[in-house]
Amino acid sequence: MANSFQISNVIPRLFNGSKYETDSRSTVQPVKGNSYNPFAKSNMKVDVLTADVFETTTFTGAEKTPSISKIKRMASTFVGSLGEAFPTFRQGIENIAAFCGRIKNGITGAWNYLSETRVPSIMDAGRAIKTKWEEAHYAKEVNMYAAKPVTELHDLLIESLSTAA
Amino acid sequence: MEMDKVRKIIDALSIHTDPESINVLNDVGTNSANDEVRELTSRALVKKNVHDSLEVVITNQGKGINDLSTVVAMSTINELLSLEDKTEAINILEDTVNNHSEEDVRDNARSVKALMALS
Repeated sequence: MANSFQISNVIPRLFNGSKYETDSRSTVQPVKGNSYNPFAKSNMKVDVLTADVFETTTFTGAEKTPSISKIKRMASTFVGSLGEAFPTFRQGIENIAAFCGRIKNGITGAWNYLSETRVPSIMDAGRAIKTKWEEAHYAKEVNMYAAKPVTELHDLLIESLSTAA
Repeated sequence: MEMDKVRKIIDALSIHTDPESINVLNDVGTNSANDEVRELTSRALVKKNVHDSLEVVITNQGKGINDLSTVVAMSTINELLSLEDKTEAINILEDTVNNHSEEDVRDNARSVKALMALS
């Protein structure tokens, strides 16, 4: 029971852990060379890669002319990263899409408004103007006849009736 | 084209201030063989809305509301119903109902008077 749990022994360890705990990272030997392995500090007993997992900066002759598939892959990666890395940019794209939608709806609505409401109204207005013009012209001619003496109108009426018959 | 001219002359006679215009419409227009001319003439006489002109279309057999053409008779009745001041027309209709010698004319006048009372 010598190793029994005592709160007095635990409290210093809680507030000054570095004094009692051994630093596991210090037991790991750094990997030599220009590589850096992040798993080397974890003290997990796994095989450690001694070489850099990323591509080196040296280019071969074939890489100077990247293939089409590689260009596509790079482009898609770039676009994807834009969407993920820049929410504002993506929000801007969404705003543009919404704006285009509003414009499209606006154009459609305007066309419907013109085709269903405005155009017939314009045509009705044109017909009304034409009718008013014809009525005014007719009234003008009637007044012109009314200014003549009745005897003359009598003769004109008989003449017109004989021609119309 | 000539019919259009006839229409204009008849309308001109309907607004003419000379009482002789009633005689012209009565002599020439209401005796025409053309239904349209008789219709235009009857309406012109009603529009004048004076005793002499209304008497022509109400009391004469074969003219105005007593015309053999249904179109002419109905058009004349419609024009009578459209008058703003119906006083003179109702007086003539009452005289016709009470005093006219022809039964058909009295019946027509009675019917038109009833319509005018309702309108």
